[in-house]
Amino acid sequence: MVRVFILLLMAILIASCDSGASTNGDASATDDAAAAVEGYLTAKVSNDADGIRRYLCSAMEADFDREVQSFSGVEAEIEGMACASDEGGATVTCEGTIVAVYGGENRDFPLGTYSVVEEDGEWKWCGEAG
Amino acid sequence: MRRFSLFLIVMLLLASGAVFAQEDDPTVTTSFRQALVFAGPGATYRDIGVLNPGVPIKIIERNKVGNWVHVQMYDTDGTVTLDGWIITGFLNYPDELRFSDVPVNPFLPDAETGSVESGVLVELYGEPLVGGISPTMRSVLEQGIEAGRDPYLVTKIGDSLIVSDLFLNLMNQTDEILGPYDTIAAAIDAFTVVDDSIANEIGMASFSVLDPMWAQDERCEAGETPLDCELRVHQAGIAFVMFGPNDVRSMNEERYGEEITIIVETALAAHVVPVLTTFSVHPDDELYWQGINLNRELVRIANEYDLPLINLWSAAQILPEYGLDEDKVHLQNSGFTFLKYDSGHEAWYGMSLYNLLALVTLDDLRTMIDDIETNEGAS
Repeated sequence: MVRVFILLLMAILIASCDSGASTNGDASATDDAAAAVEGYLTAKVSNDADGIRRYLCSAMEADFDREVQSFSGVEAEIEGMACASDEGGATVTCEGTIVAVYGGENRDFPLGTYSVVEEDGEWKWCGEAG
Repeated sequence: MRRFSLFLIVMLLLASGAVFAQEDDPTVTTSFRQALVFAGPGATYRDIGVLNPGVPIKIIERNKVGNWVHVQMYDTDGTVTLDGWIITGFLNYPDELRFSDVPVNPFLPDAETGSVESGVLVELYGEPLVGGISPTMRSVLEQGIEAGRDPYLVTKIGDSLIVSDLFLNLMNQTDEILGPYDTIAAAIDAFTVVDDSIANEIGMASFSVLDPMWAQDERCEAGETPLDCELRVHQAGIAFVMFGPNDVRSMNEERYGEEITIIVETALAAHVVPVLTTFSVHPDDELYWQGINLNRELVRIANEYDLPLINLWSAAQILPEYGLDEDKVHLQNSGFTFLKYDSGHEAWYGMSLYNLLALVTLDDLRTMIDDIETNEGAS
């Protein structure tokens, strides 16, 4: 009886571990979307063409050059970036600010909410959410 | 008594003739510094002599802008000893000098392209300092008025070169001193300039004005570009477009041409007249030829779409440091915070020159708008 009880306990523990793993798996998926947006924004402010290519959705491929060059006239960095997937997973909202410096003057671009799509198992940034 | 009456009439006629002759006589003035005299209204013309300061000259005619004048120097028996063109800003301006009284030479172009060795530069010199307003732009103005746009409201679309209030926004003040340039007074009175354009920011490039991420103004809708937002929010009828110094460092002329074309087509689709401007490039800049190529794209696009084009690049060739500040990018300004054209600033500072060229262009647009409104009123 004791053995049965131990086996049952172990089964419950294993099951709960599975369940936890599953929950963590979902969180990982949402984190991936947020991470993709963070990766995209980081690439954009540093005019990193490879980074932008990696995270830009196929629907916006025509805008690739513009996305790469948009901040090329300024020195830009992101302060306090923290992104999280929104409910439903179609958008990611970011806190933080792009700070662009030109000629000694600062210009702030508060981060916002962005559309994301999953393409071939990878999350992609797909423009500002309407 | 009859003889006396005749004598009186003759004397009166002579006197009135003298008055008329005085009014028609060219204004006499001097230069305040030594100046090269050219065969035409621009430094590409052959230089034919030197005018020393203090030597009396007569102003015969001018170019359309007024920044070059045709002058003649005489000896004591009235023989012309020097006949050519000098930059206006080197002159002492007599109080009575008004360019509305000085005839415009209708024949000589703003540059003698035959003397320019580089075929690439010929393309730029070949454009007038201020082009006219085409019938195509008349249609755009008419459509804009029909759509509720304010034809007398001017906005700015561009980078740090024009973001300063010293460009165009000085028109919104009433403290201008125009000296001889009375020809631009009506434009200053007629137009108002948007003072918070959403599509004119420091650090902007032609790419960024089409990127919604740069539209941070609360009046903009999600996903709206700064350009679309600006054209919608202020409903201006005319837009001065100036990109270049940032773009030249990050893109080739083909890509630049594509972006400017999108900007132009967006403006035209919104029934806004886009005014393009070639930008000044310092020959010491390592990207000089790239800047030239971008300017050639502006000329090509202006011609393709019949747009007003200000050839600041050509006009600034004669200015110290090509009208540029120490950074060799931005236009040098005089330090005065009002429009001041009574002391030759247009011959020294790029910003003064650009404002002058812009105001001459706006005066052409004003004439066309007045004509449109007159015809509408009559019909």
